[in-house]
Amino acid sequence: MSIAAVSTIHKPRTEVIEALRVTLNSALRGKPEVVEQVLVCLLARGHLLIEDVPGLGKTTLAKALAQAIGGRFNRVQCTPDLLPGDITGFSVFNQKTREFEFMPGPVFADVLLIDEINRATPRTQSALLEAMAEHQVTVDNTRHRLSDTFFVIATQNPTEQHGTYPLPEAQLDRFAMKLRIGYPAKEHEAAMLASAVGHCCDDRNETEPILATGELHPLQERVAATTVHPAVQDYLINLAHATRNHPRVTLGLSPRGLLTWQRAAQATAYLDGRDYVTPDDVQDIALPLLAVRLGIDGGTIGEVVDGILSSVPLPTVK
Amino acid sequence: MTHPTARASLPVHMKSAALNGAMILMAVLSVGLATADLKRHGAWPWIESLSLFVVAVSFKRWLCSKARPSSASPPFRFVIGAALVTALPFILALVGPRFGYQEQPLELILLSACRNLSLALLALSGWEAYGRLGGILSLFLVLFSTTLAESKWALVIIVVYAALGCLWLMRLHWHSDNQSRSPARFPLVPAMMVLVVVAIAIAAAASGTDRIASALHGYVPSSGGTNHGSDFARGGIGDGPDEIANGKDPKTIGYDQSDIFVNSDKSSLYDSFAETYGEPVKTDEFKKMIFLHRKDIQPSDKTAVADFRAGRSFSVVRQPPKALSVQQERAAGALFYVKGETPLHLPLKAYDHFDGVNWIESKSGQLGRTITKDAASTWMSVNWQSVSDAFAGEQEHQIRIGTLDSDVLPLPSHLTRFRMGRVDKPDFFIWEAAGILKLAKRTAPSGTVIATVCRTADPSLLRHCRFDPPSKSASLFVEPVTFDTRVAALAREWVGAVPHGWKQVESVTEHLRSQAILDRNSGSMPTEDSPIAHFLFSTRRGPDYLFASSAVAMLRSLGYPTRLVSGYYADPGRYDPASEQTPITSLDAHFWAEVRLSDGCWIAIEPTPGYRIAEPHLSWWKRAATSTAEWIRRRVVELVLIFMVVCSLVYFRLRVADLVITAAWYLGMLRKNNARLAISTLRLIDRRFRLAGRPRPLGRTPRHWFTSADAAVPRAYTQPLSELASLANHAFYSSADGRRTPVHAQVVCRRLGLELTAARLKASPRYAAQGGMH
Repeated sequence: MSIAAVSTIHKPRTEVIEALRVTLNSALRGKPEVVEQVLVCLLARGHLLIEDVPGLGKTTLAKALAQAIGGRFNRVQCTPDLLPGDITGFSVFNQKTREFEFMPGPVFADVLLIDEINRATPRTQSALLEAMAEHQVTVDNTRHRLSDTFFVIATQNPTEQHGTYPLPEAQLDRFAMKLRIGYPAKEHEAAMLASAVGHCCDDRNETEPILATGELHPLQERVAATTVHPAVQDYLINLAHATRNHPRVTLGLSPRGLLTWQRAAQATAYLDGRDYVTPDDVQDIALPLLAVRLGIDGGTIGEVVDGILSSVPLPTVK
Repeated sequence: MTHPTARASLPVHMKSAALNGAMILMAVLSVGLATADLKRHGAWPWIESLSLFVVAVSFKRWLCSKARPSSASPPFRFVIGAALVTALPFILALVGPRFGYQEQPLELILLSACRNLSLALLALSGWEAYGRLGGILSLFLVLFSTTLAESKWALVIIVVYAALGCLWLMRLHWHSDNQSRSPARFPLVPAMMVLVVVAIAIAAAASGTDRIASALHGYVPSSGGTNHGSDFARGGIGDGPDEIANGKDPKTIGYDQSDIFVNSDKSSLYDSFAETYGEPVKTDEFKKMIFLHRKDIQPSDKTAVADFRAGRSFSVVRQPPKALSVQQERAAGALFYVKGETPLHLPLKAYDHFDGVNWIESKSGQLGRTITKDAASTWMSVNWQSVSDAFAGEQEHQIRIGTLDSDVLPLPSHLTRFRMGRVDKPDFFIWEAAGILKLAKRTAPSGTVIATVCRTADPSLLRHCRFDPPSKSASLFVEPVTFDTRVAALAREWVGAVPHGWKQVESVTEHLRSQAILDRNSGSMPTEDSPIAHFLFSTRRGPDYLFASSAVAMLRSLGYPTRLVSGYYADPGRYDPASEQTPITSLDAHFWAEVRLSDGCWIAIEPTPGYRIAEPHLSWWKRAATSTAEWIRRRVVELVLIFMVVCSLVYFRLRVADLVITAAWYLGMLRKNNARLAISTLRLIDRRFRLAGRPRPLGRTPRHWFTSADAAVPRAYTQPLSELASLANHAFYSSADGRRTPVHAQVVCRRLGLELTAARLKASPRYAAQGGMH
């Protein structure tokens, strides 16, 4: 029995997930691990913060994702003069009906790309809080439900500091992960160049969506049902405590962050075709998950996370 | 007992556990009591029992804190451990005596085994059934060991144990009967009544008749050990060595110190001689006259007359001793007792002149040593004018006079200090002969204790000592013993080319020891030859005085000043461990020889086989070195074997350790399902990584570790290992109903367990820094 055959026996990976993977990987070449974490975010119902220089394919990725999950894609380019209403929508007076009518803003989408989120004013940033946390917006005392699969991909540029408003911790905690895409490898850039020859514009918008509308939500529910052994939960709690007691961490993991971590670990397990979470899953997503929500005093987040992971013993099961 | 709710049942469980523990403690104490009684010495049985108990209790606490027993039975390894602990006394009894461990009688071995088992059960009493079993076993232990024990404390233990046992049984019964009821309703009143009954029992036992209190003591006699000569061989009442201790018991048939049947209440040295060596043969006066030395028949010499008075000479021509009756053999009271190191020669008489048949006692010889009293104490010091460099360190002894009736004190040679109660005037002591001390004008009363400090001669130093040609003062000690020239010739032959000095003395002694046979029961009847020549050239067999006389004769023929000495020999074989003394009886009368150094010191030599000169008293580290060397010499084959085994174990430690853990894993594999198999295989691989010096770091998951550069897994095994990691993950973390591990787990686990050895892991080179697999 070949080992390769052996390893796939207990992985009932759905074709849908595999198709999503393929689509996203073709949109963002050479970054399978980023794609995997984007999928984790999507299935864990978390929002994604991508911190990188322009031109690395953030928008491409977001658009491809929106395309693939068959939802509406909106994009907001943040500037200091962007107002909350520009995102949430506003009421206008309809002369015919003599009533105020709500004009939904870009937030009413399945995938929302917020470009350069740190250029928006704190007021505008906070307008996103409710939308991201509770999947609803309140305009003129009226609540409006957002899509069930509402998914925010925000980007920020780490190099430019002039005229930016750093995201407050409260907002950061609402993101599930912070990713860096990084430059592609040489061979992937070569392939990209080769594929660009002969096309006047990169037009992928015509591809069929992989998920029908409303198909993502059951997937997310299934992820939420993935088994987490009490020992693994103990392990998560120990890790959370370790972040709070670490000498170089100024802001430890919040209980909400802990919940997010468990959900993300469930998503990782699901993506790996398992119905139970292992410490591997917990460790695999630790870095992007903690990067967005730990306050660090000196050193890099990578070192701190490595230190925490290597100081907490693995769960023992009898 | 089940646990309906943890909060309610925990105190109950703890209380009966405490009772259980107290019962086992009582059992352990009773075993300690029985052992101490049987072995008759020391607190060691108590220390052993109590420390084992403490170990068991702490082990139990540790076990409870580590894993609150959730399974029905304790882990297999603990059960095996309990069995091993139980078997330990038997193993010790088999193997121990070879390594100096004291031999035990069978009932003590059984008791120790049962005690160990009950302690093991106590340690495992977190599991209810084991605790109960321990309680039942403690009953057997208490009953058995209190019937063995003689101490009155056995009664106390029984009573306390009975009280504890009643309470324990009541609790058990109550809580197994009333699971549904509240545990708070435990009937306190009957429990208190039990305690009152127990208190009455204690009072009755303490104040009641002697019969109640002593009914059980020593009820079961000891087996007396598995060996004839066991130290703790114990007779019944009025039998065996106990007969003297039981002297006041009307049932005793033994004889004790106040025995009225013994005709002579005190025995002198010559009585001992007659008893031990037989009566001298009466020779006719004429024959005796021939052998008399010219010097001794001068009528004007008053001291010479005194020397010939009855009982002051020793004839070497004697009848064989009568066969000793049992009564005599078991001397009821010893002449005196020696406390301290043995063997020890205690000279009483010295003889320098031999008339052909009789040895004549020395005239009072002066060694030139005076006795002074220490200023601050009652110790008396013997002043040595010059100290030969032939002596090692000093030795202390205590001599308690028993039935010996002698003015000469049985003290070791080369005295430096001594103390005899409050007899602290130097005038009380005079020299009987050179180096032999006696009391002036009276005998030492029975019960006198003399503490002595004496120097010990060191043969290795004696080899460098000079034996000057006899001076005028020593000329008496080189006069020939016999005129038979063959004796001198034989002496020269034995000495051969050995240079003049101690080595010649040793050579003569060794030849005598090795070439003649000691036979105390053969006399030496008058013959044509001199008795010494007859012994040396005809029989080569005889009692010790012939050995000693021959040694004197030969050494004198070689020019060494030598004398014959009689006295008592403290035989290490007669050491009595119970009283920690060596009793000296008339059977210990002995003859040996002494050689004179140029400064006048008399050094004992022992020509009789079976007797030994006291070892030189060395400093403790020298002694330790000598005894270690001796120990090693005696066990050289075993030690070499052990050394080789240890060396090969150390050299192959990796393989051996791997073999052990693999064997354990393999055994476990037989009864494990696939999920447990994956987990145990993962543990096996983890241990092998540890053995290979690359332990999996804390917090590193197996999957991450197996693919990391630090682990440096041989490439052929990377895939099976990550397969194993996911199998183990599945076994660990998957939901309970999904615990069906695929069948191929067997293939993967077996391959890894049998092929990926620690040695192979260690041999596999680390990847280059960037060579990690992803």
